Amino acid sequence: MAMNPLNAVGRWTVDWTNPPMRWLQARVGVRRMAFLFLLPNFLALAIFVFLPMLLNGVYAVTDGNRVLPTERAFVGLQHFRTLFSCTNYLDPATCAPEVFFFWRGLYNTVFFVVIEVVCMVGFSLATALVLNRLVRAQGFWRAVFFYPVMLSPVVVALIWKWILDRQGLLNGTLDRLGLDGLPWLLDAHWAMFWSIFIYVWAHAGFYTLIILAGLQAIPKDLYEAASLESDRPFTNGRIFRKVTLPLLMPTLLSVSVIAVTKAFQVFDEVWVLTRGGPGTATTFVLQSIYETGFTTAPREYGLAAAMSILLALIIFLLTGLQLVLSNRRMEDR
Amino acid sequence: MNVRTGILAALFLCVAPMAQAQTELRFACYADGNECEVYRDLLDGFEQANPDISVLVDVVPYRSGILEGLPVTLEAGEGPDVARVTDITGLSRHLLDIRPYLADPAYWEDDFYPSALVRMRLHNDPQGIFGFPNQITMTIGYVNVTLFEQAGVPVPDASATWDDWAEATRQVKDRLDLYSGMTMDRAFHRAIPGTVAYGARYYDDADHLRVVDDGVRAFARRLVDWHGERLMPLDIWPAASGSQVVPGADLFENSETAFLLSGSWLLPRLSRNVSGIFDWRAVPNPCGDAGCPGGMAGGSAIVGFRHTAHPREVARMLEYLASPPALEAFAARTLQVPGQLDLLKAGVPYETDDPAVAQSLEVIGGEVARVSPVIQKLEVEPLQRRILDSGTANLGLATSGEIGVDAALDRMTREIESAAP
Repeated sequence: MAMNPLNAVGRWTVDWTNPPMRWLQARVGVRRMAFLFLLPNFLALAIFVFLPMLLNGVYAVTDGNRVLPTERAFVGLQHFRTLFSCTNYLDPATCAPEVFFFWRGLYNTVFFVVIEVVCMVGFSLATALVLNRLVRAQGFWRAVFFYPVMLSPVVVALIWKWILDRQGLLNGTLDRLGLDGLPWLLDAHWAMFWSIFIYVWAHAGFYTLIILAGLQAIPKDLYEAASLESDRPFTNGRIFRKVTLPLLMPTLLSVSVIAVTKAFQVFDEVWVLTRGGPGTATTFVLQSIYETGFTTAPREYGLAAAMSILLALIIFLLTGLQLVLSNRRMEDR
Repeated sequence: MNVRTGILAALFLCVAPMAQAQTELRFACYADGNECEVYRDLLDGFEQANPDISVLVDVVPYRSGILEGLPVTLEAGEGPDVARVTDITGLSRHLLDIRPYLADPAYWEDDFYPSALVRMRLHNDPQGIFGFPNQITMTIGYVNVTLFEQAGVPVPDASATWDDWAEATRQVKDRLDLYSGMTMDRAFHRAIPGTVAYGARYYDDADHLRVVDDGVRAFARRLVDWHGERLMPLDIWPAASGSQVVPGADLFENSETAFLLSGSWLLPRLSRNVSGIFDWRAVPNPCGDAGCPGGMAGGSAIVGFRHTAHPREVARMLEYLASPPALEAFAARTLQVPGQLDLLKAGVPYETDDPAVAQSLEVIGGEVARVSPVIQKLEVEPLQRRILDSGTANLGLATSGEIGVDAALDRMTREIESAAP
């Protein structure tokens, strides 16, 4: 019988790679072969992740507008001292002028993260619960919710900008209905509201899919067992609280950690949508780092690097805290 | 074929391509309109006259390509051989001194708008020549004449103060129920003539930089008040954060404002988008209690970079583009104000039949001639970029209502002092 061409290619590849692999295995041993296979990935990580992190550290302790680390003057922790120069940390106006936007951005970001993550997880959970119950066209609705995730953040922002601009689609529609439009992106509160709304709209599909997978992994017989062994009738709410939610907790924790980390990195959508304004109402921490390093004169690469290290530490601590709290909760159960 | 013939033939084959080899120069060009197309045409002529050089024109975006990307690329020792740039002071350390290759260095020193060369020489050889200003951009006002006529309000004359303009545009706004009366680009560069008109001196008696004084305070207060009463729109100064520049041209083109203070680079765009739809014209910068200071010049320059492997060829290219015929052709086709003084005096035969453009170019010429000494000094101030960024960011905060005028100006003082050497 003639061999399938795909199988033939596979067989040919095995035949050709077998001798060098055997030769390598004889040289390095079976146990070390795993490291050898991981080496390309390690190299990619080292070049594109660890080396930039190391360079960032070098920039944070050096000063000047030169790019090459060898041409930069060592200043030790000076940039960190500038970062922590505020006399009142609740009022960024008391900080050194060059870090004013960083602290303002950090407070805005913390506010954004708290509201956005609660909304994101809540909305994604609700959507996943509904999708999980759908008998028909589940794939279609899953695709509908996932679609915005595939759009570039700039495209998302431009679509919403056309809708929310002073003379945009929303105000045009309100006008046709005889209602007064609002300056959606020119009012500080509305600008923050829409930043959160659009971020949730654009990313919720991703988290919905993760939660949906978690829901579908819960064995059906657990629900039956719970209803049989209970002395009280099981309502939908009780099932959710007593069975679904506890079993979904690990998934929700993963989703929350990812959502917090991603929310701290908010930049593209809001940058295109509001340019950080009005005033500093939607200036987030990543924007302030970018502006410090690249757009405002003089370009403070060192200070921007110190800011990014501080941001990384904050995310690291928050994630750690989330994990500790959730582990404690699991142990309590 | 004997051995000798064979060796000669082989040598010829090796040498022949070298004789034909071209030096390729990369030219990073940004455009507000058709500037890069015009340069491509001019460089076609250059390549014909210099067959050993070919020039690749990379059309790049202004903000990400020139303002933000180019400095980092140059710091890393990479980048184009030649570029059209605006932040001359910021890039001066990377500029190529072409004086040794020039036939007539005096032409380059004496015949161009002087501030560009002074800025190029910062952090450089004070005798060096590094490029030429290919275009002067002057801050000027644009008036929507049709709106004034419809409102029955006379357009203020050339001696009108900012307060006069505010009153006139307030009337136009109220009578026509306009979105805003007047607009100014979100850039401290545009506000500086206003501050000088109200007495700002920027330097003390000992000639030390002292940015914030009563003149700056007086104009800043007006700016914030005009935003407070919505005479100026929320879409420009308060809308963005930090030192971002936000142009007000869209509002003017949509007839949502009666008066716009912007740059002369806008002329070709207005001619293309507005002429024939409503009547418009340029007016001089408004005056103030302390007089009429004219506008503030900015603009772009064509410069070479010192990392280039072909400095001689770069100098030949710049010499060609800086020649009077090339400068005239560039200005005439792009409707921009040339940086060459003789051409500026003699006038450029602009390729347009739009009367608004012709009238505006006359106004711009007048503004170039009457730039106040204070503004001339600021044009070559080493800390200019810091002053502009700080002014834009802090007045932006004040117009959004996040902080008061005094707090904004205090922050500005601290920022500029902290950047001073």
